[in-house]
Amino acid sequence: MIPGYPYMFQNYNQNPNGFATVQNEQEARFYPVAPGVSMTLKDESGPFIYTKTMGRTALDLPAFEKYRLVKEEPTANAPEATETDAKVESVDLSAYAFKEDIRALEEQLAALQKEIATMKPKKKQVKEAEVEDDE
Amino acid sequence: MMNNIADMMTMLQQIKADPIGMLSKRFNLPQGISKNPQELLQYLLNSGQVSQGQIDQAMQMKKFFMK
Repeated sequence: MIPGYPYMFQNYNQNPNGFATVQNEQEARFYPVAPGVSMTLKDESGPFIYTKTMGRTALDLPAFEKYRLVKEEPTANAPEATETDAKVESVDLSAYAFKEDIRALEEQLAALQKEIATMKPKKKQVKEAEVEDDE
Repeated sequence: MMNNIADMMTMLQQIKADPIGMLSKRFNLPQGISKNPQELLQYLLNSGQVSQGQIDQAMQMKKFFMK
């Protein structure tokens, strides 16, 4: 740094963050970027953001992309009912069951378990009876 | 302080008079290199003689002084 030079750019120099402002798209396209580095460039004259990424070697072509900034308008009636509601509506409810259905299934299962439990002694009794007959 | 400003003004005058010559003295620029500032900066970046932070700073300074 030149001694006595005004430190107007000091903060910027200490924090190179891959972001810069340009006056137009042409300046963004020709903005110098180091190999293997990606820069985000904000257009001062319009609602655009550009990204310019250089390849690892000088032979690789730079990748330049242009994005349009769209202002998000808050809705007057339902300010919070936006993204969450959309997600809820998009859920396929046919994959879920109601509590009543699950309770009915539980009751049926319990009844079957009872029936099975009562069947086991019967089998034993039958086997025992067969053994007695053989003797 | 005054001396520093005077030195800086002299340096600026020299750069204005022969920018490529001054750059060639400071950096090892090949002969016949483009005089386009962006291409020169890209060359310095590619050859690892300057960092991206320095380029960003130079571009901001250019914007500041060209206003």
